[in-house]
Amino acid sequence: MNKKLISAGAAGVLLLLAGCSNGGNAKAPEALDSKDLLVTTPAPTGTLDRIVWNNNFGEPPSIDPIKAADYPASGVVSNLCESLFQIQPDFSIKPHLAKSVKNAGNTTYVYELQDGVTFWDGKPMTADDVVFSLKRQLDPKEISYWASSVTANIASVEKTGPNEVTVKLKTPDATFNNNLATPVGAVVEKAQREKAGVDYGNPGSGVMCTGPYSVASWKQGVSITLERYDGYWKTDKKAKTKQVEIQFITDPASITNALATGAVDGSYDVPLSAVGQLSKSGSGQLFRGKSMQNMAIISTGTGTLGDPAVRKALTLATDREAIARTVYEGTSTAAQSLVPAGGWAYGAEVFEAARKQLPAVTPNLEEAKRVIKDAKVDLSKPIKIVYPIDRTFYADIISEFANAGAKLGLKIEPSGVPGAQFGAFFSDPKARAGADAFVTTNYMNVADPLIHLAAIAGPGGMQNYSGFSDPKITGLLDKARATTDDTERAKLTVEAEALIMDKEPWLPVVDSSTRLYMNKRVTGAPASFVYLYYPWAADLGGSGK
Amino acid sequence: MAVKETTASETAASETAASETAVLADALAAPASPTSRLAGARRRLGWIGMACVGVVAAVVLAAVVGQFLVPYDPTVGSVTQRHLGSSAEHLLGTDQAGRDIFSRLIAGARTSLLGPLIVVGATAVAGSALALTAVWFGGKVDAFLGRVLDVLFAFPSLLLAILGVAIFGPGLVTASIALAVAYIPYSARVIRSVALRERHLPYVKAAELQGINGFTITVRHILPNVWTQILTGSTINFGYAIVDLAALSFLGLGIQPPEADWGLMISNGQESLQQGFPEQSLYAGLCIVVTVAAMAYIGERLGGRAAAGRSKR
Amino acid sequence: MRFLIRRLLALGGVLIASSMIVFGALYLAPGSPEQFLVQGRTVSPEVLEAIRAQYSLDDPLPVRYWNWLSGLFTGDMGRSLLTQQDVGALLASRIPTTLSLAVYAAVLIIIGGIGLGILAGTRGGVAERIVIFASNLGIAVPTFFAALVLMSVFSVGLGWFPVFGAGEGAVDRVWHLTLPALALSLPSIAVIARITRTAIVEESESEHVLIAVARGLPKRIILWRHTVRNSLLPVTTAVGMHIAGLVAGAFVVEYAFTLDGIGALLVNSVQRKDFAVVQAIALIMVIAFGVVNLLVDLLYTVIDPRVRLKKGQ
Repeated sequence: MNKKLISAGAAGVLLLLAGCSNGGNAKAPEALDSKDLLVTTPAPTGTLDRIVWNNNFGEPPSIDPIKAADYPASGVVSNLCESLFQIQPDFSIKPHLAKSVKNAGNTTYVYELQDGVTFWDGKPMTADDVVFSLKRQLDPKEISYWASSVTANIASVEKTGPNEVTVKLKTPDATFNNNLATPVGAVVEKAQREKAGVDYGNPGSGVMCTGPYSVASWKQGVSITLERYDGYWKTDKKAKTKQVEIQFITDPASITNALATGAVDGSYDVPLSAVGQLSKSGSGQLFRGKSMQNMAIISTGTGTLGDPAVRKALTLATDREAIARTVYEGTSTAAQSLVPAGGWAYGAEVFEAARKQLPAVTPNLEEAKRVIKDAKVDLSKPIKIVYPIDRTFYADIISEFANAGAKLGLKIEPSGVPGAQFGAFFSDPKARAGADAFVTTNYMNVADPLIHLAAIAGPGGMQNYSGFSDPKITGLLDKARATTDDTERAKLTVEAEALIMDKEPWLPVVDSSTRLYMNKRVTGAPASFVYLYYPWAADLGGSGK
Repeated sequence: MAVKETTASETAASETAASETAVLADALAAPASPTSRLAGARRRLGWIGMACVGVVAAVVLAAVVGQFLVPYDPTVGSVTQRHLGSSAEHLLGTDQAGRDIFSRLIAGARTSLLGPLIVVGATAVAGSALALTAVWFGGKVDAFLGRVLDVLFAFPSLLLAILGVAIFGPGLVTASIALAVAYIPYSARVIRSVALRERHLPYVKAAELQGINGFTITVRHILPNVWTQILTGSTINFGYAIVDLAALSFLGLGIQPPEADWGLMISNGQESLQQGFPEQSLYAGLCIVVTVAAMAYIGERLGGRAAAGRSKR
Repeated sequence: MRFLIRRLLALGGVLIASSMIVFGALYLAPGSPEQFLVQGRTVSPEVLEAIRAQYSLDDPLPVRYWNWLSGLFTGDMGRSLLTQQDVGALLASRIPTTLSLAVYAAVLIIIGGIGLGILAGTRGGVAERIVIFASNLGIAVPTFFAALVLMSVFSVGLGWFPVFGAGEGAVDRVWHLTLPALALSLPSIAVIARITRTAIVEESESEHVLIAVARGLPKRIILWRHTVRNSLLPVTTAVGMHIAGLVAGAFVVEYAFTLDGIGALLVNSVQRKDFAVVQAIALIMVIAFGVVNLLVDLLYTVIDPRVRLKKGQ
């Protein structure tokens, strides 16, 4: 007998065995209804000594809040450091380390600080610490990743009383305080920052903050362990679990196995490839929460895709509902706008009504063919869309767009770059040159459509990668920013939204839900997309099972 | 007489190489007629060996004409067709982007063979050139080239490949050349040992005395006696190159999606494997294993026992 | 002794040359390190400028290289661009895993490879055929494929081994690293087994062994003192080369099994152009390689007193 055949057969049987034991799932799940998305999970019935969690995007490069601007760091720092305001699981923003704020004229805010707040070393939080922390955003030597047009708008920060800080802006910004719910408004201890020097935020020196958890230990490349801070000022929100160990596994297969076997008690952003298996797993439950995340294709403004008609036509022709059903395993819905559905904490009626005016998401090839006739560019030039190769689902999404594009006579080429280098597309115009577009899994920092749209479509916006600028849109955005009444501001914002979606500087693909998995022995973590800035770990406790 | 410090490892390598050349020369120095040489080869291979030749021939065929004969375009698929099982329409099913796996395997033969071909070719050419130059001129040239190769030697092939790709961008040619640069020191060292032997033989001295220039002597006289060594080395390197290039594609440093390539398919299929659809990774992996094993079997059968026992590269 | 010093000096020379190549390669690679620091979010141009200034990224290449080199002599390996952490501390926390993995794999290679080779070479028959066949396959199986299969079958499917991490404490670590070490050592075990078998078979047909048999020496003594010991020469070379290559090969395995070693750090750091980290890891790899080769050569004098560390030809 041919030995090669035998060995091939044996290997095949082994692998098939392994494959079968995972439980194949060939039927696509039903489409997601956003009304079924959760905000919270069942409250814990008891406290636990230790929980193991996983940070699916890997290890934080630093735990300094001004450097925590992306998934890996934010998810950890949110439990350690606190800001003047805090986002809640229902997306509302409440005063936090600032007890209250007063408008003194439309460019001045006076904050009264919370009493009784202490750092982990027991020292009280003072107005000096707050002023120092806010000023770090403006100090070029501190190199804050949060520095932007929002912080550039700050004219001065001063201590104006023993427990009072006054901030003066250069131009009016009615949404300024919403930004203070992010690490822009994070408060750290001045003394420790000055003492730690260059090693601040590293495993060596760490940080000194006021949050419900402090850092017990940090094993590089492996995990960081958080310890409950018993002197936490907000006594009704004290942490329920004594120790939370956060692992840094990034490999989707390992994450899935760890969750399914209970080696890890839970994680957010469960890998898409794990959804099928974990939905059926007996060791815990997969929750789908309200989210402010979406996936989009960002146009660089150059090439064939630089023409708005081409962008609109492509979006109309692509079956984004199929993408939501298959690639996202039913955990997402096709996106109507660049503002994720439900991403608002004010003006709900206005924003919801506006959705009905936006184009539908069902593919419409005839309409697409009509729209593309308005294109002024040469359609025969290939469209290059860039994605990070270690996230293979992007390739599948681009390939679906390529199918649609082929029906319109467009040639779309996916182009992969190493994951470690993909970040350059977000900060280096030279990296973007030569590509028509690149992908993003984006999120709103806070549930404020105006902030989000201004960042994408406003001139100089932090997420405006193509130099997109339309005077009518800019005018509306500026006017909205100066409008203090929530409903009026919402109306101006949806006007701008409609105009923006007519040009589609980004092609909206899907609105995601938050995929949270928890082992049956733990419960309590918020199911909604607030874990980047809200101390989710403090809500985790025992379920009694 | 050139006095050159050699390390013990070189001595061993050259001894093995020499004995192997003798065996190979023996094997190939059979009676002159082509039919009897072929019969000799067939006898040597045995019927398992012939099966392996069949396998390799099939792979080569797929590599050369496969892309024109595939039932589906290997790079096109729709997510609505993802993870379909084997059927009449899709012999081996579809992957997570809805592409036909069977077509991809056939199309993937091209890059899976082309890359190693580039590696082996570049290694053979550069390795021989360096070795023969060092051997002919001896002395300082030999010592200098030896130092250069020592530095290259010290680099793990993966590091070289990563650096090469970082500079020139990922892709088949870059990865292949980077790998060739990593293989050259080994190949050059072995060829040098064998060539060194030849260099000091009387007939070469005689040719020199006659006034024939070094280049001609090297090419006309030394090279033919060394080329069986080069050939054997290349055959063995080919198998290693397939595996190493697959690893590079797996890491994202070689072939880029959506092109079909066996190493890339193993990597792409990981998540599908997780979800209970092992076809992509499994079949691509088997393709690599079967191809390389078949080649190794043939190489060892034709080259005699010594060839099979040679140290890596 | 003089040999030792000369080799160490040579190693030093190689290290400096390698570090220049690595530095230069990173410099040539397109893109700028500060662009890779934040993944999916935007950072303002002023911030990027500040980072460039902080790390002197705008200084000319020779200045930067000299700064790094001189820092090295004071024990300062620089700081990682990504985490701003001291590279020495960063590596110190991750080297133990890679080292344990490499040592474990080395042990498997020596025991498994040589053991199987001796088994095949001395016993012959069925054992020999199985070993040859298995080694043909082993060479053909790419490490990452082996890792995938092992993990699927033994970690996920059967649950005998843990799914991720390197474990704490000696016993736990051995348990965690078993599958990774197996995946890493598989191809090498196959090659070493073949080489060992071949060498033994050749030795047992050599004159001195035949004489020993004719003299009526007990089989055991012949086996160990004559056959095996003399066949160790080519085997040692090969084992040495394979072990030296383990540190580099560890990367793929570290990634597949989520181990916190330096291999996994390397590719990422090259792609991010995190100069200091890449330099440090490259240095470590080159040193490891050089040291292992040196040990192999030293081992030769123990195995074969005839091989003197002197000038030969």
